Amino acid sequence: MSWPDRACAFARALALATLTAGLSALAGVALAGDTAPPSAAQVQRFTHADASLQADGQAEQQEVVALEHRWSQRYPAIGGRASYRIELPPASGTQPMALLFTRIGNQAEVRVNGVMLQRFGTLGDATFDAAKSARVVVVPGAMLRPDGPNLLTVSLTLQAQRGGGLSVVHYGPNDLIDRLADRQALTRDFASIVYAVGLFITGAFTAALWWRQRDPLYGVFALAAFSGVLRNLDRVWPEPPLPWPLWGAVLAVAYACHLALIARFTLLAIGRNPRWLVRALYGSLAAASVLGVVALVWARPLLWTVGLAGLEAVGLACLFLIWQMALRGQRPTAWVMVVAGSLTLLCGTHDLLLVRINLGGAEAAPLMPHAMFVFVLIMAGMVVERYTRSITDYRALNATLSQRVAERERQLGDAFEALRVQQQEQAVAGERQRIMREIHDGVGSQLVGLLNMVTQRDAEPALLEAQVRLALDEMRMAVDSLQPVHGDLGTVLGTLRYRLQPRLQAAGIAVRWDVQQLPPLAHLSPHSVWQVQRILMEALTNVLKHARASEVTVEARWRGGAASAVSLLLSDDGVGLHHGPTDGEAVQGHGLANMRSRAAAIGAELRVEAGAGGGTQVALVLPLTPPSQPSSGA
Amino acid sequence: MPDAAPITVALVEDDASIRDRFARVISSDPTLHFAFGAANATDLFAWFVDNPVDVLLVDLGLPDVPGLEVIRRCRGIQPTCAVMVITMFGDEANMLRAFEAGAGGYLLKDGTERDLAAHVLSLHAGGSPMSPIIARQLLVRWQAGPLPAAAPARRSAAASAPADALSRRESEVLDLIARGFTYPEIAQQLALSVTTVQTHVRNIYGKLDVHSKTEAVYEARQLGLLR
Repeated sequence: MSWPDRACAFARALALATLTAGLSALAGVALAGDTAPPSAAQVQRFTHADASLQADGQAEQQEVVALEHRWSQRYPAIGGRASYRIELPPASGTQPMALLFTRIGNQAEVRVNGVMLQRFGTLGDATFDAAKSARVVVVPGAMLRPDGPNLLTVSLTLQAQRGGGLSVVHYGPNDLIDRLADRQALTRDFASIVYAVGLFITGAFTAALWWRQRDPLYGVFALAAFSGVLRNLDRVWPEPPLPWPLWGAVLAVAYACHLALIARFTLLAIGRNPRWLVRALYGSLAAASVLGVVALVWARPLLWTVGLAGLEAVGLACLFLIWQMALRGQRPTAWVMVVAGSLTLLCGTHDLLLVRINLGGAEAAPLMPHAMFVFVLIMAGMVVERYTRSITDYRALNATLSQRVAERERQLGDAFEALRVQQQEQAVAGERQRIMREIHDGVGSQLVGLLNMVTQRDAEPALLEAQVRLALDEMRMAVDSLQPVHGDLGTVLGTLRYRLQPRLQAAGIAVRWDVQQLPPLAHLSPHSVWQVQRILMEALTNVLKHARASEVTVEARWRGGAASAVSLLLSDDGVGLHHGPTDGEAVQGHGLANMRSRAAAIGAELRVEAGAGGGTQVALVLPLTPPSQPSSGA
Repeated sequence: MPDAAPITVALVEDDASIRDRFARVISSDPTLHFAFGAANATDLFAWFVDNPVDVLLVDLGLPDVPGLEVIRRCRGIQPTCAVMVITMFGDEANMLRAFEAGAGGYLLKDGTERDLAAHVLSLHAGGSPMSPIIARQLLVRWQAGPLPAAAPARRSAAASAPADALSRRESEVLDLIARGFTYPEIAQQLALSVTTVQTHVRNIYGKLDVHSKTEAVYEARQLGLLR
């Protein structure tokens, strides 16, 4: 398995582990809430009370009610007043006793034996909601009658749809009641605070991610989380910033947003965003918001229920879609989403039926906050997986890149090597071609001439020898042209002299040698060396054959400046161009044409003219084609 | 030159026809005495240990031992013997290695028979011919002296033989030879005697002949100069 695959698997496992851990923690909290530990023997539980209930604008009613008593069960759309009376047992000692109200409100006054013990909010003032948390009221032992019943009176004012009412009342020694209250606070307030904080942190985190990446997934989740914070916070916030029905409307809208945006988040996470469903989602959100506001402000609780049901229906559609995706196996997160979505919809249905429509009685508590928090964990898991995946991809990309660079480098190297070999082969082939041509044109033609002479009957030995020497000279010039001269024309001239000096000496021709130091000619190829040699050779041969000279002068000069050039001068003191023997004219003319064409072949200029002191002067001017480099030794 | 005793010459050459030609030419010259002709290095070494000669002619392309090694060993056996390389025309540039191994000159295989005997005599008499191409090679070589490849050689040489570098005069002589001037012309230009020019040329060859120097210098030279 490649390493990216393994990293993905690892990230998934991690996400699942996070989810499982979160779920079991939630289950722990939920279980703790369900199985409240049995009170000590001294703690008594009162599950009924004599109540007088007076809804706004209606007649007062007297009856015995079961605790927990929830006002909205009887009066879903109106507020009112209620008074509960419970007879507490006679007190045996002076130790302080206490009362525990898991829920009391919305505003309340607690009296024992007609003495006011505690007041939660001001009766009739909707700004305060005492029902948000459990309340403990200490009853001083001195107040209690040891011989007769002690009368507990709880007076409430209630606002419509605010979850007001009176819970089961626990009564017992102060310390035991405190302990019980702590335990209940843990299950009730602690979860809300944890959820609120958790949602806030993940909301802030995903908002930051959205800010940097502009990925709607993060944006939607951040909004969902922030809107969820409000509802969880409200459960432990006794004095909200707005008076009741308004605050309730705000809460309803926030809650609707929370639900709808979480549903939207699941679609984004799964990568399926059919337009109809997204529209339905936002439509139901808008509807639920309007219905919620109307329900609370104009006291029409049924409307809010309808709004929630609409959201529930859209949620069900989302779940169906995710389930399809999961079956197709395109997204590994789909099954996690199916589980979380199913859980959420079950909890939502539970809340709708058992809490909202009151089928579950007064004890039923909403499960939705727990379910919603699962999505926080899913989001965390997704972030972990995405981060891991991008790191993995980045590493894989790096590896691929360096591999590709290495591959390219190798290809380049190969291509370069191939090109080099090809060039070398071309150079070798070209050089071979040149040498072949030179052998053919030079030695070859001389040998053919020799053969012609040999086959003539009366061939003179002297002429034969001259012809053989010519052939040998041709061959030696060809070989010399291949010797390294390091671009020095002086060495070329020197070598020529080294070869010919004995012959000139034998012919009784003195040599005046005046070769200056010349700049190195970078473009002095064997071919040009060979051509220069043959031109000079031709000229010297002419001197030997026709000029009847006693001295030959060889000069080499270098002229700097813009038109820098090397000029080679070969002059003799012989009979001159036009005084040669008549049979020699044609040969000489032919030789000159040859010399000219050779000079042209290497871009040089050839001049043959009468010398200053009689005789002939041959001048060969070679341009320094590349920019001249003044010789440092000159 | 017409001394009493003829100059004894030995030859190692694997090509039988060339060997015979050389033998014939040397034998025909009254001032020369052809002592021994070997077809390979092994035969030569076996004979050479016991028979002192004045001149040894060596072909570099022997089948059994590399030519440079033959020169080196023969110089070791008989330091007074002048070793000449038999080479084909146009291989002058490669003669530098032979000089470094201790060769004192070279003969062309395709030279005329008259030249051949004259060259042997000239070499034995202390003559030091030098072609322009060899002079150019030597100039380039010594100019390239401070290059990294030759740096170790330079250092070792400086330690044991400070006079190893070319003198200014020697450089001038080399430059003039490279440009085709004859020894008398050089002597005239530099206001020297022809003998002095000859001496300079011999000294230049001597500086190449590392055989006379310490082994360490020799090795360093090998590294630095034989590329």
